[in-house]
Amino acid sequence: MKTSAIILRVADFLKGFPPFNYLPDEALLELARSGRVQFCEKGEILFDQGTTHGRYFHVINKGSVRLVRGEEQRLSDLRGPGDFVGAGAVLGEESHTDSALVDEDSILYALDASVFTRLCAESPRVSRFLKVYFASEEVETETAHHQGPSDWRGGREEHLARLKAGMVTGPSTQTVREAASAMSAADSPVFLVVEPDGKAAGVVTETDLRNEIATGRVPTMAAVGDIMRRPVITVSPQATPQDALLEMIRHGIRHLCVTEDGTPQSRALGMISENSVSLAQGRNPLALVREVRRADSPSSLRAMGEELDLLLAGDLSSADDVPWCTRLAAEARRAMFRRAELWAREKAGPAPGPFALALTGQAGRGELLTATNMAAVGLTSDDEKTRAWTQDLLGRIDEGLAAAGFPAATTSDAQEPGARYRTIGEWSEFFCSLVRDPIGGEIWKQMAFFDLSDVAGDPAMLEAVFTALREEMAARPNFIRLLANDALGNLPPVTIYEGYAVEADGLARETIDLQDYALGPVSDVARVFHLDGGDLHATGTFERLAAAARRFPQGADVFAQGARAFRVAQYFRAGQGLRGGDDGRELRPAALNRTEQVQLKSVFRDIGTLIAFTANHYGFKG
Amino acid sequence: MDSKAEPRYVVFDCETTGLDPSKDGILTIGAVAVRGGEICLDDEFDAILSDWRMTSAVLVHGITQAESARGETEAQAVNKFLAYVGDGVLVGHHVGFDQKIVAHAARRLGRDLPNPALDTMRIALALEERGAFDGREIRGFDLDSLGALFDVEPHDRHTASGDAFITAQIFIRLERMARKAGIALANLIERDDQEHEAR
Repeated sequence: MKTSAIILRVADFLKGFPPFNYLPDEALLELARSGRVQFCEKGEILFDQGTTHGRYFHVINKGSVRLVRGEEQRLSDLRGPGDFVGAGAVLGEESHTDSALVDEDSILYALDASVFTRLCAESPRVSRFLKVYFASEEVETETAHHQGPSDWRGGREEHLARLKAGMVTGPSTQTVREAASAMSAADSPVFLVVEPDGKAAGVVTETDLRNEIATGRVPTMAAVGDIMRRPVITVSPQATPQDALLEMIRHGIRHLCVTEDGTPQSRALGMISENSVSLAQGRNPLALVREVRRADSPSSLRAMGEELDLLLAGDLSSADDVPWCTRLAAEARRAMFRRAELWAREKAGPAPGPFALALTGQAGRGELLTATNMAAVGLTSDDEKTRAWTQDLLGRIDEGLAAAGFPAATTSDAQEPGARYRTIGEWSEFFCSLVRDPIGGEIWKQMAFFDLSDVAGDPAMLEAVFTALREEMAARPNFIRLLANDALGNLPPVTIYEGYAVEADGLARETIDLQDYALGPVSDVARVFHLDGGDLHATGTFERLAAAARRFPQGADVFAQGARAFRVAQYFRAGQGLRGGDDGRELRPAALNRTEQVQLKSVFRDIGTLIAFTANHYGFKG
Repeated sequence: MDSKAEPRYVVFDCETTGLDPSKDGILTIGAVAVRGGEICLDDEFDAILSDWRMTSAVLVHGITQAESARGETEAQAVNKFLAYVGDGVLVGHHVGFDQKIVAHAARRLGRDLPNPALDTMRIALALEERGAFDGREIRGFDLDSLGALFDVEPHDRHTASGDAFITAQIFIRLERMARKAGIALANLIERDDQEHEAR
């Protein structure tokens, strides 16, 4: 079918925006051909909330559309060129969840929803994008595929030259003894058996030699063709370290053959070993943690912290990686803390009496994707010597951590002098007085203390404090409700529009503090449900939300959405922080690509839903 | 609103070998329908004609000899276009010329083009006389100036389909303004007659 320039023009416009760019050209043309071009003036209503979806949904070509909800016409989104409105029918919604008002004179493409629905069903990527757009699901970001160490040590050319130079090859008729000798001479762990035309025929590894020769199963004069492994798994010279790693994992092998076109049908160029992949990937996480435990100075710890950041930046290629990377980061940074604590204890000498150390706030929850401050608090026995010793120990740990590159506590984390170490009785009284008079005690400044996790010393001391706190909380059920009220304070922005974060009152901000407006609200809500369940040991926000979903199944979806939002916000923050070498809090939405902006919008929406659920659960007006 | 009850406007443009409808021929025809204030993308027309030699006009319109060679004969294209237009109201910028050159081609086939036509330039002038532009600065009444006034992207300018699409986007605004200003488009209708001057 011949396609006119008009249809091509509309299809071209659509192609510039997700999810239309995921559709094949033919599908895009079909969609464009199904449509109408409309001009709408400022103030016109496209559709009203609650009305059923019509035949068409709209893609904004020029101008903007405001989505509002409820009688008070609360802003729920602002959409501009490339955004679409009224497409809920595609996801099976019966009626419009918002009203759509034309915000300025606009050109809209009205496209046939049934055609789009069919095309979406044929494209999983489009369907997935729409779920993010309308509800809550993560989408692969464009950048996800480009993050991390995507190149080989020294670059691709050097990598190819290296693997060519290191390749040990021979015909299948060569004896095992000759092959072993060639491998030994070249210090190569692998021997590639090649055909006369240079194609890979099989592989013999050191392990094969050990298994076959050393055990006497095969004589050393046997031909390598008799013991070689086949088929040879091949990759192209363009394969990245991640590609190579995936292939190795997929086939359970430690060597890959690089061929001219990536198939076994072309000439072999060299061998990639697991070692070269892990060198390019940064460091083996387990090896890194082992090294942290053996670090001999704060400066070496600092270098390991930088390596950890590199490793995380490499592994964090989508929001799905956040939970695993969070666990890895927490393990590694807590190991760093323990190392600093060990040095401090070596200098402070033996403890005069019982003591314990606990991490607070993000460190207590183990949410340490970026290097945040690791300020610990101390529990000490009630004698002056141990008090002084604990104070000295905390100071030395702070010094060690600072020298190891950890940021110092910010003013909001600072506590009054002497408040970082207390006896069990003093800590118990501190918590109980907060529970008795949360407002007078300015509890909102002290929330980090409700995320305590023991890190050194006698864990029973922290348990004793928890017992006292638990009893006090049980006696004052209104305390949790007040905590919930506090957790509802920082509402996330409503949307991202033209690179600005737009709040419900229309205020537009160029940057957004991810901690205050995205991560903080979720972790605050998660803490409320966690404490409400009577558990005082700090756990991570993901675990808390999962536990809340088990206790309140009617909110399971909302908690899952909150966890997703937390994961995506962590991903943005960590990505920024690991790239920028800071804590990644400040995010400029304008710096995000369109897909990422859509993700961020869904983060805000999900957090809004979680906050509304929490407000409702504890009897506040949403 | 039931758009079926609305008149069907056929916004069209021709690229031609010259400016004399009696001698010159059509290189391409592009058209799209407007109904109920909307441009109907499922109701459009596009034809390249093969039987005209290359002239300087191709430099303006960017049609290559190869493209033209793949096109249709004048008879095929004009017959199809007449069928596409049906009883629609023709719309164009300086529509008189396009109307005339299609009418000449139709006559060569023993057919005619009796359809009424609306000139977007005349509508714009009528609106200007009524003060309907409300103080907005108008640089001129040519297609580029009106496009700029309404913020219409000048994509594919000087191609028949491109110009038809631009004209259609201008027309849906003018139509709306005319309705507000109480101007009946029917009063601005032109018909092809022998006295009508070519542009």
